[in-house]
Amino acid sequence: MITTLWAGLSIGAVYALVAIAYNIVFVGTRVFNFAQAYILMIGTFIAVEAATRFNLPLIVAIVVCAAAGALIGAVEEIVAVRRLARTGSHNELVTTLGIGVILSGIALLVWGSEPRSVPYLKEFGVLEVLGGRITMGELLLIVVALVAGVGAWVLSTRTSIGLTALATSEDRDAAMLRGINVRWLATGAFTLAGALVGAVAPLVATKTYATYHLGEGLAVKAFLVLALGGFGSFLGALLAGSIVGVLEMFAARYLGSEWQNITVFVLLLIVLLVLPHGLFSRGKAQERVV
Amino acid sequence: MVSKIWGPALALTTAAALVLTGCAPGDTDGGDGGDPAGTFTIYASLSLTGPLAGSSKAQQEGLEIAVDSINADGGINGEQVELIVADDQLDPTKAVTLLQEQLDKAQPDLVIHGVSSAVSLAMLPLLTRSEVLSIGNTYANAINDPATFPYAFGTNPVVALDPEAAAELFADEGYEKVAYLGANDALGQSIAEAFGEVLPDAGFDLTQESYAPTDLDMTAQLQRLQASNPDVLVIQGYGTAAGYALESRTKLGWDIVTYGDGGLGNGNNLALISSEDDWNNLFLRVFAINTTEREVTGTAAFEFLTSELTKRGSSFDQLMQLYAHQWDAVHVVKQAVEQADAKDAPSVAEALVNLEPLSGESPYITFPEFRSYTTDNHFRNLSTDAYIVVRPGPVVEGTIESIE
Amino acid sequence: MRIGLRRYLTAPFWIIPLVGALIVLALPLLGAAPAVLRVIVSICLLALLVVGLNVTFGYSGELALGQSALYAVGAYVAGYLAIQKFDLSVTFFVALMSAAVVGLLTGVPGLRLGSWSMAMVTFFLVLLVPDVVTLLTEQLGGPSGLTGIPLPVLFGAKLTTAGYYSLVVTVTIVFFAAVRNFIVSPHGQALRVMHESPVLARSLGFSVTRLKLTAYLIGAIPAGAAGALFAYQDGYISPTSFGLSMAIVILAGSIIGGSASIYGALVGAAIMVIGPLRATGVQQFSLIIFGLLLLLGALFFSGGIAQLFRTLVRRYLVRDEVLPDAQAAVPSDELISRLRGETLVVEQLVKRFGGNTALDDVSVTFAAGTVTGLIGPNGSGKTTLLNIVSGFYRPTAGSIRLEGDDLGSLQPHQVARRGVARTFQTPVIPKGLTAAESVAIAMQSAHGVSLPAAVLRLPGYRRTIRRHRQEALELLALLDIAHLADVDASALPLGTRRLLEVARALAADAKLILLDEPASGLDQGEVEELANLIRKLRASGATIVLVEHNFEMVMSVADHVYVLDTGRIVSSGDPDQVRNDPRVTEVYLGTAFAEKEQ
Repeated sequence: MITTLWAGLSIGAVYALVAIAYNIVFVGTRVFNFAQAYILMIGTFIAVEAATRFNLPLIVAIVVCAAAGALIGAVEEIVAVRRLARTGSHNELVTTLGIGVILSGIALLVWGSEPRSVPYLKEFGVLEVLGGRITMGELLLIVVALVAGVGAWVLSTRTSIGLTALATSEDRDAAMLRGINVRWLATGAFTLAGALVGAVAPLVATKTYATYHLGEGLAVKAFLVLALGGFGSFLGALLAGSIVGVLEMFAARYLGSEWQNITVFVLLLIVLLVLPHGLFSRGKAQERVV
Repeated sequence: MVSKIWGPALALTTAAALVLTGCAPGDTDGGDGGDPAGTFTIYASLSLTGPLAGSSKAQQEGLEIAVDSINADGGINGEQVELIVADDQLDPTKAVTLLQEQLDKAQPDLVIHGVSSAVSLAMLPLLTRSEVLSIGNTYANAINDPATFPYAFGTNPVVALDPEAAAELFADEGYEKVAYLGANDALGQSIAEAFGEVLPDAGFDLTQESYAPTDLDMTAQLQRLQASNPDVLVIQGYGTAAGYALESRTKLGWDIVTYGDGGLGNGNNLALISSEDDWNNLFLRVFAINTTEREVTGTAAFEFLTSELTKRGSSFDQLMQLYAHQWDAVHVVKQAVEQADAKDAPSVAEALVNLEPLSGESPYITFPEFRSYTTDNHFRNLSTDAYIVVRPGPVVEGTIESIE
Repeated sequence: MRIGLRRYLTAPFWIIPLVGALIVLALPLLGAAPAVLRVIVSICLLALLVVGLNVTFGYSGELALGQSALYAVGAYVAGYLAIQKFDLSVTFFVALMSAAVVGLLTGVPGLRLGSWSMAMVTFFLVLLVPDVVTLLTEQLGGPSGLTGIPLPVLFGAKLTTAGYYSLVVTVTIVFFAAVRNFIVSPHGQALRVMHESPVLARSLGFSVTRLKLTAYLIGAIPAGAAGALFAYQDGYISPTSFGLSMAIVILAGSIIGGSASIYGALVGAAIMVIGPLRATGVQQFSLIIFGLLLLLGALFFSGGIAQLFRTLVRRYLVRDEVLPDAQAAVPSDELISRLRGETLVVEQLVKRFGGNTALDDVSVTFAAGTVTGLIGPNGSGKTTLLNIVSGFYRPTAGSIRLEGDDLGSLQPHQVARRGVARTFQTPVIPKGLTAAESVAIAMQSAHGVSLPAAVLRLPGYRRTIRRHRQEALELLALLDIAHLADVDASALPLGTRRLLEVARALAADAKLILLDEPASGLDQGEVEELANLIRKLRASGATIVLVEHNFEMVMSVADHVYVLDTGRIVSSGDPDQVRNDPRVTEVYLGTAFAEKEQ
């Protein structure tokens, strides 16, 4: 049973990482970036190339993938989001979805439909922790997710850049009037989020392999985690990720695999009905609506 | 305010455009539609884009080489063969639409009915109504239904043969409790159902689990199986799932004897997604054609196929049976047409279930021994010795290079 | 060659698409090849899915991505029942209902949050289809698909391919007509209002939740219908036909054709069906092409092909003119005399936002048949008070009663229906409505056309629409802007839009009219006219609350004035009393003015 717990926590860590990236973008721009999980997917392929074609050690691969992710994130913001910032419609969901689909198409075109694996961390084999079995990759994923979540939380609430971002996401115009360069903040948020998913991509690939439809599967689950944890809450994403991952694995373990998605869906519905703002919504003062 | 001019104008333009386009459907690869007199037309519906692109490409290559070989030899019953390939993109509805467009142009003499069971099942009603002969390597039991689909045939044996062979093997090894992990897609469902019927009947204690093809972690399912304390584990699957399943098994440290099938060994090229550590105590039950133990090495047919593949620069990264199935399909239809001296579907179907043995070296590659189809069974009529057991390994030029 | 606006608006142009549809219907008789018929069937099915998405996404603003899941529900229900030998009339109807029910059940939780949540919940639904199908393998065939669906039998008669084709085209025509009727009617206008401003929609008496759900249902039903018909197309359905790629195709079709359009759905669907069929050779790029379509479509062509067409036609083909009934409109006293004001009593009202107390122990009475002025410096809480009275904020403490009825616990749209109408500090005039329409929409929630009447164009529909338009014109005439009746309201200058808001508030038969700074942006002459209008309204018995910075104007029309400062009432009385109250001049006008007055 502990093994199931570890499996749940590690897949939950992947969801949480994507959700944290969603949050970074959301806090900086109020936009939900559907393509985030697809950037991670591209990152996994780059990790494969780094490992198999260039024989780069893990650390270097992480840096390379982070850079790639950052680049894609920045380009995405400039191309797909910037122009819509002033229209206030919800077209960003469609444009970022479009980017996600394009990224899948590119992956399919360049790397084909066969999944690829990365050779990293194989040498550690399987570990025995607290009575459950877990691979080194999975363990590191859990640790990295924790670090990323707490780090992002600290960054956003204790540093001036973080607070600036929070302020901007509340009221863009006010921020502009205060001299905050909202444009750069937006690009920065996308870049940082891209770098985050890029950096963890080699690690994620050790668990999920690189496959062109990885983005799809992760995007929606990670959103669920985001909604559950509360938009804009990094600690919420962490907690929600663990809950969803563990719930999934336990449902599969004790009910059967067809029940996995259904169980999570029911959880989503219940949460939306009871706690419409998620577990840790950033308690907003009532907005001036009229 | 909803504008009222554009709407009508648009609707009219659309209708006009539709009628015009509909009158002139575009060309599919490879042909101008088929000249009915004097040629034997083969229409192949393959999924050249999408997740089955790799295996579709292999099948296309096998088809093209077979057609070239037959044409060089005088064609089918004197008629040169024309091959038309359509990309159905793994979409059953699209496959039928493309088929209908072909039927509108000129009825083909033979149709390769797709590379996935969903496509086949969607195409078969139309094919039957139009009395068109079809064949393919798709596997679902529903396809093998001579009462409903009298003109449809398969190049694979019936699904039940797989568990029957497994039952024999397991009985020999003295196993009593069998655990089974399979995919939750069309192919997986067929095979799981077959195992679910055959094994308990043969006296085995069977527990079954399944995973969705998009699942990332099969630890849960394997643990459930582990709980029943089996003697042997059977894993069915292909693609990423295969890798995850093996990895999960390694993670659990479960050293049980495990048997995979051709799907597990193919396509994804096991070596690309798992490593030798995962192959501990793993065996593959595959057709001999995919291994060094094949008996057709040296035959004219086999040598031609393999040399042409290399000559045409094929990536040659799928299991041999994928290239060979289509070769065999065309050749068996050739045999039937020439035996019946006619190419209409009812006559050819009749000949296929009453095939007379050929003299000389067998032109068949996957299953070279002579077997005829029967009125009850439009899939290959084989026996359990079709399956052999090998250790896994990388796939090189269609052959599993077993590790030891 | 241009046609006049009147011709353009009144001519039955819908005859053209009807004729087109009849031609399409007759294609089998004209000898069209089976593959062509098949392609048209595919287009019709996709168009039904897209038009449903257009209603929820394009008009209502909710990105409900679950269309392909509802498609699956319709298909599987119909397929299963067909195998049980039920007639198509039965399978079709049950499939429709099932899709509607599933749509409702999953739409309700999704609607509580913002648009992203709706998108994701419905998206997740799509992911569940394979799992549910697998769980019900016995009945639904599982991952291998559902085989053996017999040829359709409608009312006992077996349908041939041509018969099935005619059925699909007919169903498509009927649904498109119904949806078009809905969108063009005040119900569709209410959706558009809600899309642009949920606040305005609520203040007009519309329940936003109900509107969204209605839109969602109207989107779900065609999806179920399409599914039901799809089951019969090949006698086989595979769960792979309903996945994410289908959802993306539907979305792309919506965006290309124009999300806020009905006929655009047909164009989008045609492109999304024919394109991939014809694009041999570039199919490995198909994902990239779809993605680009979504990206570029949403970036640049936010109205799709339909918007392009509309703008071109409007600009080059139609000549603007004033319609005769607008010209002839005369202010009618009968309308004004209908206003029956009621008394609103606010007692000890407290409102806190977090740590900030916006209103502290405020008690005011707005007596029936009077004009009450509410003045005070910026930030004093005037608009907050208005917002609480109109139901947009909940009071922290205290009570609000309109002729004894407690308003404090009501939702904004319920308050509006109870008889409170208001204008806004910045006029909220939605795009896509003419001046006359934006006034008439206020009459919809109280005594407008019913949904069935709108969709089916029952006899009462035209009468009601005409009557509402007439009343709207008379109200516009009252404010001297009748000549602008059929102009796009959002393009009007600020002052005119303010007047439009007042006309709209009057249209709602209000018991209490809240005017939030109506005079700002008006020139002196217009302010005079507004003041005259307010007096006239009072004479008829209306209750008016006037929040204003224009001191003179307030003093000249108000019967009673309250002065607010930092959330408290600092003075109350008739205009003269208040004008001479030193506290007021100090707080509101500054000590220099106070000294000058003295």
